[in-house]
Amino acid sequence: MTSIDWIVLVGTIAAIAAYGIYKTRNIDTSAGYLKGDGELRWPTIGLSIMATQASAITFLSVPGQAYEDGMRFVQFYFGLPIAMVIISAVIVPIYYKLNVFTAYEYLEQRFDPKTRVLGALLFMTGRGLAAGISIYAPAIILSSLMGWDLNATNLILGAVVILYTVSGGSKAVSQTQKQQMIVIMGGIITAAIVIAYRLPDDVGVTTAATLAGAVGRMNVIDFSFDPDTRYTFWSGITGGLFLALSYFGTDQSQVQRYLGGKSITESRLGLLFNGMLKIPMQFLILFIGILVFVFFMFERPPVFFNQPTLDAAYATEHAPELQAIEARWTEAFEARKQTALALTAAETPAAEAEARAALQAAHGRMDALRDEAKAVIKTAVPTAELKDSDYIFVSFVLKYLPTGLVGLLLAVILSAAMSSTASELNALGSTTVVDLYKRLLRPDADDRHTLRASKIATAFWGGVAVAFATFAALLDNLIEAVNILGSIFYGVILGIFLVAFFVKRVGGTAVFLAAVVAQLGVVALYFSVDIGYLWFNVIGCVWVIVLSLLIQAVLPRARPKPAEEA
Amino acid sequence: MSEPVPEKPAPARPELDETPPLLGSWRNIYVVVLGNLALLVLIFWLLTRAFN
Repeated sequence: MTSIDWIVLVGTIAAIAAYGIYKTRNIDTSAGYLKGDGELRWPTIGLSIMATQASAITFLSVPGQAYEDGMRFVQFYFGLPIAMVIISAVIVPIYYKLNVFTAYEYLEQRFDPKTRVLGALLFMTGRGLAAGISIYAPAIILSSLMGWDLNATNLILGAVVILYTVSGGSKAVSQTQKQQMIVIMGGIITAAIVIAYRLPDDVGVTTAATLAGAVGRMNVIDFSFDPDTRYTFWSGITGGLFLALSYFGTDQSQVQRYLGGKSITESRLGLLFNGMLKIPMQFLILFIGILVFVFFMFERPPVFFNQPTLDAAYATEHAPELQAIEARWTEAFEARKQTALALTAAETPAAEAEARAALQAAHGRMDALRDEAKAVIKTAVPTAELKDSDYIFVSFVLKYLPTGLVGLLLAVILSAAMSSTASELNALGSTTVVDLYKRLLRPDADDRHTLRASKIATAFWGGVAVAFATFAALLDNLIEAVNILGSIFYGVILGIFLVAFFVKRVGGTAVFLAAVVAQLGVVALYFSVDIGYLWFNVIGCVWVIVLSLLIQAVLPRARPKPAEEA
Repeated sequence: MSEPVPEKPAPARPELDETPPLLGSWRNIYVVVLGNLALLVLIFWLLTRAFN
C-alpha cells in the first residue's frame, strides 16, 4: 500500500472520528447521550440505520458471494421493506407514545420488570459477543493480507470506536454513521465504475452481464418453491421479513437509531428511507462481485484467493502438486478466456448458443481445478479454512485498483466495521444503565450520575469487545459459534416482543415463564438435534407465542397495563 | 429476584399524529415503499430472464 493510500485511509477514519467528537462535545445530559436529545432528522436516521446493519463483512463477503454464487443473495432482503412499513405503522408509535429509551423498557410497561430484565439480558448476551466479532472479522482478513499485527489491528479499531462512542453517545454514533455511509456509498459507486472501466474495451456492463449469466451468475430472482434452495423469492419475502422485524423492531442497536428522531415523522421517514434504498445498495455490492468475476475472465485469477494460506501450503512438500495444478489452471483460464471472447463476438443465435455452451464447459474445468487445489491445500495445511470467498474482493482491490482508491476502499471496510460496532456498544451501554443499573440498583440516580454511568458502561462493553476480538484468534470457528449463540437467543426475544405487540390478552407472568421454558427448550434442542441453527430463531419465537397462550389460559386474566392501550 | 417498585412511565412525546411532509398520508407513503419493492422484483425478474 502506498503512502497516498495510507493518507486517504487514516485521514478518512480520523476525520470521521474527530467530527463525531466535535459535534457532540456539548452533550451533558443522559437524554442527550442516550437518545441524542431527540433532534435527528430523517436522512441521518436512515443512513445511521443502514450503517448499523452494514458491517465490514458486508463489503468483504458479499462481492465474493456474488463471484461464487451469483446475484441471488439479494432476495434475502425482500422482506425488509415490508418490515419497515410494519415497524413504522405499528411499533414506532408505541415506542414514541411511551417515550422509552430502550426497547426493553417497553416490556416493563407492557408486562412487568422481570420480563424487561430477561429481554435485556438475552439481548446483551448475544449482542455483547457479536460486538467483538464486528471488530475481529475484518481484522483477521485485513491483517493476514496486509501483514498487519492482528492484536494491534483489533486494538486500534476498537480504541477509535470506543473514543467517539464513549465521548458523544448516541448522537456521536448517528453523526459519524452519516459520514461513514457517505464514504461507503461513494466508495462502492467509485469501485463499480473503476472495475467496469478496467474490463476489456469491447466488454461493457451489458456484455459483462451476458458473460456472467452464461455461467449462472445473473440468477437475481428465483420463484421456485424448492426448500433446498436457500435464497428464493419466497424465503426472502417470509424469512427475510421475520428477521428484519426482529432486528429492526426489537434489537436496541437499531431501535436506538430511530428513537433519537426529532419527531415520529423523522423516525418513520428514516426507516422507510432504509426500506427504499437497502435492496438497490445490496444489488450494487453484489454486482461489483459480478464485475470482478467477469474481470477475472480476462485476467488470470489466483487458484485460491487466500494468499497467506496458499503460501503456507506451498511451504510444504505438496508444493509440486500445487505447481502442477497451477499450470493446468493457467491453460484452463486461457481456454475460458477464448470462449468468453467468442461469446462476446457471436453474431447469430446459433453461434451464441455454441459459445455459451463452450464457456460453461471451460468454466466447469476451472471449478474442478479449484476444488482440486483446495483438496491439496487441506492435505498440506489441515487447519486451513477452505472458504476463500471473503478474500476475493479485498485481494482484487489491493492488486488492481489505482493508488488512492485502495485507501478509500479500505476506509469503506473499516468505516463499516466501526459503524456497526459503535451502534452495538452504544446499545449495550444504554441497556446496561437504563434496564439494569438504573432500574434495579440506582433508581434514584440523578442525571449527572446516569450520564457518567452510561459512559462507563459503554467503555466497559468496548473493552469486552476488544478483549473478545483478541481472544477470538485463539479459537477455531468462533464466528459460527457466535452466530449460533445469537440464533439461540434472538428467536425467544422476538417471541416476547410479538406477544407484547400483538397478543394483548397475555400478561407478564405467562410470557416470562414461556420465554424461560422456550429458552431452555432451544438450548436442549441445540445439544440434542442436528438442525440448521437459523431454525432456532423460528422455533424459539413460535414456542414463546404458543406457550404464553397456553400458560395464560390457566392463569388468572392479566391486569391491563398502560402500554396495552398504546 | 424481588420485584422493584414499578417505574412511573415517562410522559408521552407530543408529536404522534403528524402528517407526512409529502403524499398527504402515511398510507400513501407505505404504498410507494411497497410499490418500489414490487418494481425492483419486476426489474430483477427481467434481468434474470434476459441474462441468466
